[in-house]
Amino acid sequence: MSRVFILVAALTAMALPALGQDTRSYTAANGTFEIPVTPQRIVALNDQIVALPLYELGAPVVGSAGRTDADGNHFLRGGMDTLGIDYANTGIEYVGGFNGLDVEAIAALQPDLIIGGPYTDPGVAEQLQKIAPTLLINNNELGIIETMRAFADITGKTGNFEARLQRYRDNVARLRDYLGDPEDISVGLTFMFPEGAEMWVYKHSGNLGAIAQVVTDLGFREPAAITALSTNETNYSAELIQDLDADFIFGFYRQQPDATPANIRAAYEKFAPGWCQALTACRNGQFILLPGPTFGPTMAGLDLALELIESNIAARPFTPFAEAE
Amino acid sequence: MNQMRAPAIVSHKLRAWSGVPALLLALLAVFLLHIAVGAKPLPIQTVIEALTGFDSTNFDHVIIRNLRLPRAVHAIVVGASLSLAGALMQGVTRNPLADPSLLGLTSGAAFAVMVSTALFGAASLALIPWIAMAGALGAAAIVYLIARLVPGGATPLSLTLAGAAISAFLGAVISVIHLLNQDTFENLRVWLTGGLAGRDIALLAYVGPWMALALLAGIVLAARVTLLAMGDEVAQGLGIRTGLLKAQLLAVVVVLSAGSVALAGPLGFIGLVIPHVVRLYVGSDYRWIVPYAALAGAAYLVSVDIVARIAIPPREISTGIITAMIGAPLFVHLVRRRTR
Repeated sequence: MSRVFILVAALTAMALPALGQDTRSYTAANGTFEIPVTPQRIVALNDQIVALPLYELGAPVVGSAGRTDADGNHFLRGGMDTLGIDYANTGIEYVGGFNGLDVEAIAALQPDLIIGGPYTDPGVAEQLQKIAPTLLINNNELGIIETMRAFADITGKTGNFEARLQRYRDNVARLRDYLGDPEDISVGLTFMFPEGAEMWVYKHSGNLGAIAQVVTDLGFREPAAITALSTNETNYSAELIQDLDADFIFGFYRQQPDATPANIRAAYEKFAPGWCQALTACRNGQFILLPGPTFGPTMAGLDLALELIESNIAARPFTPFAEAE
Repeated sequence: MNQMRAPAIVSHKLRAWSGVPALLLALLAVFLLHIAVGAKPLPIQTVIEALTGFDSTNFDHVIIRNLRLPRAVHAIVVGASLSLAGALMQGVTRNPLADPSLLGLTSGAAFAVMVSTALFGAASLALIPWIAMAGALGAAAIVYLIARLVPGGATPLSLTLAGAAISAFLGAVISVIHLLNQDTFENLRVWLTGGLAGRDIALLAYVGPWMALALLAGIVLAARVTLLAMGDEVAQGLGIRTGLLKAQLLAVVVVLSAGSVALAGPLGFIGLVIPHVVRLYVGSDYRWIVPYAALAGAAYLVSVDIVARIAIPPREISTGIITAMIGAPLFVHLVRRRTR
C-alpha cells in the first residue's frame, strides 16, 4: 500500500512542471486534454513517426522511443539520414522502444506533453496520463501532412511548417508542369525486407510516408493490380510480381548494414529470381531504389522524395511501359 | 490360437503394405499439384515445358523451376522430418503429446539461431544448421534434466511439462531479444512464423544430406521403437540396449528438428498430429508408423503450402500459420476420437 502511495506521490511530483503553464484544450484520437499552450518538454513515443517531425519543426523534444542495434546502442530510426540527429548529438533521451516504453524513464524527464499514436499501448498511454497529457495522434488516418500539421498546432510551431509546406506545394505544381500529364505515367511502390522472404506493395494512398504523399500529389497512376488491392498495403506473391510492372517502380534502402542498395537488390533476386528481367521497368533502368528518408514522415523526406522523382522521371527520357492488351 | 493369429498378422501386413503405394501416389500427386498451381495460373503446357526445356528468360518457367519446385522440395523434406521426429519421440517417451515443438527442440533451435544472429550478425548458411542442432540438443538436455530431477523421474507427464516450460521460457527470451534489437529481427519475422517463401536452396544442400541420413536412420531404428514403446524392461528383456537406442534416436530427432527449423523456421503441429493420423490406419507398430509418418508428413506440408500460396492471392500466408490453423483443431478432433 505504501509503495502505491509513494508511486502516486512521485508521479504527482513529476506532473508539477505542467502546473502553472497556460493551457488549452486539444482533441486527439484518444480524447480531449488540457495541454500547455507552449510545451517545453515533449516526449515522443515513436522516433521516426513522432520525434523526427517534431524535431524538424523545432519543438523541444527531451525524450523519444528509439531502436537498439546489434551492439546494444540506441538510435533514432531515420534520424541520421533524414535530419542528421541521434541521441548522441541532441539532448533527446532514450525512453525505450515504441512497443516497450520505459515509463519510469519518461517520468524522470518531467515532460509537460507526451505524444504517441495508434502503435502506443492504450494501457501504457493511460499510465502516462498521470505524468503529463498524453496525446495519441492517428497518423494512419491523418496522412503525413495532416499529422505534421497537428504536431505544428500542438507545439505552436505552425509558421515554419506552413511556409515549408507552401514551398513543397509550389514545387509539386512546377513538377506537374514538367511532367505534362502525370496520369499517363504509372508508378508502383514496393518494399523489400533484406531477408528476401517477403515483399510488400503499397497503394499511393497507403501508409508509406513521404513518397506515397508525393506520388499522390503529383497524380501518377497506379498499376491496375495495385489499385485492385482491397487494402492499402499487403505482402505480395513473388509469382505475381509482373502484375506490378509500370513505367517506374520504386523500392527502398536504408542506412543500415543489412539494408544497403546492394543487399536490397539481392533480396529482390532471392524473393523472385529473374525479377529484373521479368519487369520491363527494371530492364529499362526504371526500377529505382530510394533512400530511407523518402518513406519517412518529415518535410525533409517530402522534399527529398520530390527531388528524386523530378530527377528520375521529369529530367530524363524514359521508356514507357506498354501494358499487354 | 496360432491359426487364428496368422491370418490377422497377414491381413495387417497386407493392409499396411497396401497403404505405402497409395501414400507415395498421394505425395506425387500433391507434389505435382504444388508445381502446377499457384498464385499465377499457368497452362499445364507451360509447366511441362519449364520442367523439360527450361528457359531462364521466361519468367513463367522461372516460377515453376525456381519458385515452386524448390519450395515443394523444402516442404517434402521438412514435413517428412518433423512428422518422423514426432513419431519417434512419441514412441520413445511413450507420450502421445510428444513432438519436437512441445519438448522444446524447435524452440531451442530457433533460440540458438536468434542468439547467434544477435551476437555475430547473420550467421553463414553453413553454420545455421549446426547452430540450430546445438540449440535443439541443449534444449532437449535441459528438458530431460528437469524431468529427471522431479519426483517420479522422466515420465511422459514430467517431460511434457518440462518441455512446455522450456518452450515458453525460450519463446519469452526470443521475444525479449526481438524487443531489444528490432531492426535485426524484423528480417527474421517471416522465418519465426514458419515459412517456406524465399528459402535458400543452398541451405538445403548443406542440411539435406544430414536430414536424409537421419530419416533413413529413423526408419531403420523404427522396429526397436516398437519394443521401446512397451517399456524399458520389456525392451531390455528382448535384448535391446535401451540407453544406446535412446541416444541414437535423440540424435536422429535433433538432426531432423534442427534441420527443419534451419530450413523453414519453427513449424508447429506436424510432428504432433501426423503420427496420430497414421496410427488410425497402421496401429501401434512403429515399423509402419515411422515410414508412414514421413510420407504423410511430407504430403501434408506440401498440401498446406499449396493453400498458403493460393488461398488469398496476391497475398501469401505464412505456411506455419496454416499448419497451426489446421493442426490445432485436427489434434482436438483426434483426441476426442481416441477418448470415445
